[in-house]
Amino acid sequence: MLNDPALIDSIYEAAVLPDGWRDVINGISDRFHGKGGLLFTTSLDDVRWMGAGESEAIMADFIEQGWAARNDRVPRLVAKRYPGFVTDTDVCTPEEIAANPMYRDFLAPRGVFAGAATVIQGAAGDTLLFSIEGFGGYDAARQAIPHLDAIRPHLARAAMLSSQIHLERAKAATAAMQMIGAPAAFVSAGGRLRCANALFEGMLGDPVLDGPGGIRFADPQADSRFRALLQGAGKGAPVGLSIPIRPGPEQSAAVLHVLPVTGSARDVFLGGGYILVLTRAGVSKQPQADVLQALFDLTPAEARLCRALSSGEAPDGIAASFGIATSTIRSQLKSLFAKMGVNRQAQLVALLATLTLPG
Amino acid sequence: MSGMHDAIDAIYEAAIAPAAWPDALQRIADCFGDAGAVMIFSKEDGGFGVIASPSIQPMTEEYLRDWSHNDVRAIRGRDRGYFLNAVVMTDRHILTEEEMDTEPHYRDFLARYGLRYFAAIAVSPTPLVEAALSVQRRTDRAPYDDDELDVLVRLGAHVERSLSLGIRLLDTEIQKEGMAHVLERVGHGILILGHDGKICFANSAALAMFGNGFFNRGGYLRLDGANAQLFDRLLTAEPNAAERIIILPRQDAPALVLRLIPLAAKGPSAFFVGARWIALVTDIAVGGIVEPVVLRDLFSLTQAEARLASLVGNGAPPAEAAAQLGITVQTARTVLRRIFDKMGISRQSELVQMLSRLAVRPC
Repeated sequence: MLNDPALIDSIYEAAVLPDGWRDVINGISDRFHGKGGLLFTTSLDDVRWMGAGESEAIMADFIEQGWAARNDRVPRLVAKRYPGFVTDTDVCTPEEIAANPMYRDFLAPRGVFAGAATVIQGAAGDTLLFSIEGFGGYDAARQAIPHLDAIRPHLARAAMLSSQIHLERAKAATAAMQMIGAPAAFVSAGGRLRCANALFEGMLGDPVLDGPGGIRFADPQADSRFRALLQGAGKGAPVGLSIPIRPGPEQSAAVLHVLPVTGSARDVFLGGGYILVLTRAGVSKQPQADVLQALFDLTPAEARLCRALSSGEAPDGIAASFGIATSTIRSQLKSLFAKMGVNRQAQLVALLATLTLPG
Repeated sequence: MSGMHDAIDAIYEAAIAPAAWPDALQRIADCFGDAGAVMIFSKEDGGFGVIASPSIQPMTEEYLRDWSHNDVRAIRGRDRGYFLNAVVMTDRHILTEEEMDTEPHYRDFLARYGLRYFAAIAVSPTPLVEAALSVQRRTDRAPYDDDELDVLVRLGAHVERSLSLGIRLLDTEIQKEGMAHVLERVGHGILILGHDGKICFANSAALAMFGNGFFNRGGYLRLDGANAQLFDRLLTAEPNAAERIIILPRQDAPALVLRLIPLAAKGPSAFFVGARWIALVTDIAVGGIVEPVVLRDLFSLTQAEARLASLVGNGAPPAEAAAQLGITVQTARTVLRRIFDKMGISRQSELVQMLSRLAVRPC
């Protein structure tokens, strides 16, 4: 019943389409005349959920009315570790169901007392819970289960793809930072390191520390501001921040930029998190004279002057050390600035700084 | 048929990790107890590209060297349209047993590796590139029967879907949550170019810079003046890192710096989309500013010192900074000396250098 190519296509597409999982759940639920369903992802840091169809509003009410804290269906389901779909009567006895106010007072009046759910183990310690809600009764749910089990492998693979894609995107961002010479890493919403580029890894130990509790900083002020940002998130939209990291005995000053990973709050697989970019104050190497000549079409004398200026020497001092007249230097300066399109020494310095990025 | 679940798992893992394709192909072969499996792609020059399971990797090197241009199976298969439809193909569809005994491809190549029969199914997610999945069987085994061909059809559907996901992931990698967004925050324009300069993607920082020495002609990136030829040469040559920088001069503003960074598509996607470039465009005049409060905390400056340091560090000469802050030039120079002391530097250009990479643009 569920083995048609279009549905199976849609399951794998859920990994790349924004509303893909919602469409999958609704597509399956419709075939059983259900009321949509739910998708939960839990990782070390938090629990996220997404609802499809009528289940979305029902779940929101469920949480708001405080039932979620008293619900032991989910822990029982996870504990069973059963590699297939089950319905409520597989997890609770009929007596427990009859005695449970959650069924009597909330689920039954809304027609969602009988569902079919399964737990799927994801990558990196993630657990996924997938449910179809709103069967007519437990017999109807039981009849649907063999069909659901038949597509469970596809659901599991698509879930794996979904969580891996998120990590791949973060890796792409940190790789891009590597290209421009910036140490960068991706951390979870709780501050745990998920991936880092080589430059960032080189800074582990000082000023960044990586431990079982997540990323910390040797500078206590920076550390407490970072912690405060992580804890404050979740109350409204996450806000980015630039945190100064004061120079240590062997480390230059740096600024930690915390960029929240944006994305729909409903995307259960994004799981929030932050890109950390460490920009470091530092004096960069100079480009070679021949490179400067080629790039800006400079004469050898102009290239020599350019390099001297970029290390901060004043024109008068340069004239003295080159042993030529100040007036000569000044006219070379004019020509040099014109070729580079700058009109002050500071701009020349900044322009050259962009050239010495690794590529 | 045992092993199908393992094979399908591996097929989808390869969507994100293209290096896993050879392993996935091995598991596909294991479903049939066969010697090996390959994915074969048609190339523009008329030849074929191959990704193979490790078990038959040695023979694929000889194949690419000596046989890819007269592979009788691939040629007849392509001529009869098998690459472009979902009909499974095996030897008996395109050759007789007698031909198999005499055709050089079988007699002089496959037989030497102990191989004979094959089965293949088209797996191309786009009609622009012909691709097929093929399993190879040892000479001591019977030809493929219909049940086995059905299995290959089912596996082929998964392979095609995985290839399609892999191609789409190439593009989503650079979408808002990925590279482009983060690079934008640090002030860089970024373009993704096809191997011929076709603009696949441009972030908004790059779009804002168009017209300053580079422009979009019919969807392709083109450079002005003398840089046009240089750019074309860079796209086709194998330049070293230093040569991949192009300076785009501007009137009354610092030059833009354009850097080309190669970005090779990995695995099968390389056959579908070809090599690409990242063009990184930097405009120092639009860089971020280092906020005074950040400088204050970083270097234990006073509020007044931080304000001056921020202005001077972002390029203003002391006289201009003094005017902006309402202090005398003399005072500014005194304060600057204190700032330099606290920062452990000795000249203004060092201040500019130190700060030139600290900034991140607010979003």
